[in-house]
Amino acid sequence: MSMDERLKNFLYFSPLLIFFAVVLFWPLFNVFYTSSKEFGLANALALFKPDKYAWKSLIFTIRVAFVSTLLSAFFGYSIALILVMRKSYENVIIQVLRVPLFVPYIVIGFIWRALLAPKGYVTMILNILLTKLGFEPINFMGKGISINIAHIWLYIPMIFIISYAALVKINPEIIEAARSLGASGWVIIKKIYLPLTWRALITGTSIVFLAAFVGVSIPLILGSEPTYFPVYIYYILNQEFDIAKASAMSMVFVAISMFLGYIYFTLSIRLRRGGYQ
Amino acid sequence: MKRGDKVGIILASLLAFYIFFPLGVMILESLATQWYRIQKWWAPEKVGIKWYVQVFQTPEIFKAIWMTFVIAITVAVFVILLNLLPAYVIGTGKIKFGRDFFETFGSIPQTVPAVALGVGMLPVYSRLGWLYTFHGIVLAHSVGAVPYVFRNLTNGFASIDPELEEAAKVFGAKGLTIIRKVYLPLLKPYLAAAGVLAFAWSINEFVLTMLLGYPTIATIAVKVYQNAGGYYWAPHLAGALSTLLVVPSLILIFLLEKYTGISLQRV
Repeated sequence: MSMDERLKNFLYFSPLLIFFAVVLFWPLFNVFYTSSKEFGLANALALFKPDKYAWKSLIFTIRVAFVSTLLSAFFGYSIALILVMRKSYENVIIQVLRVPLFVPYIVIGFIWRALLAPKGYVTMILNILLTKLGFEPINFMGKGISINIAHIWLYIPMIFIISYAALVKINPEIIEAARSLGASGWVIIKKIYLPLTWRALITGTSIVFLAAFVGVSIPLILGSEPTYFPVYIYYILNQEFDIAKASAMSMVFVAISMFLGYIYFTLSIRLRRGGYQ
Repeated sequence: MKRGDKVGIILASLLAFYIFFPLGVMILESLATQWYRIQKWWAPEKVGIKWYVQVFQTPEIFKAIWMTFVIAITVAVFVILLNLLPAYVIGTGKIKFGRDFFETFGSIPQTVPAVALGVGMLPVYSRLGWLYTFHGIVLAHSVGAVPYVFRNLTNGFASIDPELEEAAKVFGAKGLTIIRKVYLPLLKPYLAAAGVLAFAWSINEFVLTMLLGYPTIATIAVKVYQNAGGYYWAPHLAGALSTLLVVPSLILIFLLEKYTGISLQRV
């Protein structure tokens, strides 16, 4: 390839480069610049001392996102496994599970707030059952669990779709061979399905954790104590108008999410090249 | 097939209930004009389209609905134009050196938290005079839409036989003519998918609109937030607005998939 051709290819790529430079890299640079120049690195680090609210918020957020991811991974992968092994009503189930992916996050937040509010359907029905059984009624609002419940409605489908795409690519003859040798369902899962699809599962869990960790809309509507980390940044910006502090907190946030993003991309490139296995 | 039937039915119905019950509640909230007080707390006493009428008759909300779709369509067109050439060089394998890098490049916005991006964009936008402007919001929404469009268009270009391009070159076609005459007609389903995903992304976008556009520019998402606890708890209005946001996009996606035979991937 000639130099000329290379230049031309680079030019073809330039619209995206220019666009990213203005609305992505410049703002990100600003976050780093403002937090180090105006806020100071020492002050930024001081925000994350264990007794500070920012630290509590960050730890709470990581914990909630982790629980959401774990639950979604378990249910999403299990549904995918059942579907691959049973092969009944696959199309219906796939279509149904794709629906949440096209519901705006803010709407998901609203729906679950309506359901989990003290007079919401889920809380009311659960509390009627609980009081009948002699337990204390429960309250979801303001707790991490309400965010978990809303999260998994969106993320179970995500994990399901990624794992299912990998599971259906497994050559059915391998499974047949294992069956004819007397392997039970569990053994097949442990020895064939899991080893051949763990990369897809990790890719799915990393993208879900990332999304749960950075998403503002759902925790913003549901609310929690301590405040969800991205929501906390949003409040600092929108209510305290403290752009320097918001930048300092965003920097930590960007660093963590880019690291997770890096893991996701490395794995997903390998997945694409290796045909999802 | 036979053996799995029962499990299949149970699983399918459980999942359908799990997914559609919350959406049903959303629609119910939007249609119930009055609820029973104590007994039968779960049922609406009266239903009607009162809240939808109210939504369309409140000028401020009506403007937000209109704005949402204008912005989303502009975003879809803009992001497709923006990614056409880059997707062409990547999808057809013209860039060999650092291919992984460039492929990943288009997906970078996915790893950047929207709220952190908003924090960085505020000073940039205020310097450029883009705060509270239409184009400012279109550009802000476009950032997050790039990964979906880039991936779909790259796949589209990759799916086309490179010999077609060679043949066109033999007949003297060049650069943009090749893209226009050879690739675009074959790309149609991918363009449709990319467009719908960009559209869906834009109507989903909330934080950046709130930080960079509000109060001059508000979208349905902003109005849902305000009515769903952000400013006050008005589930009937939030429900009506959510339904207006969700139902048309689900129908659009369903029709698109039915008529083009493609399957939209958001993950």
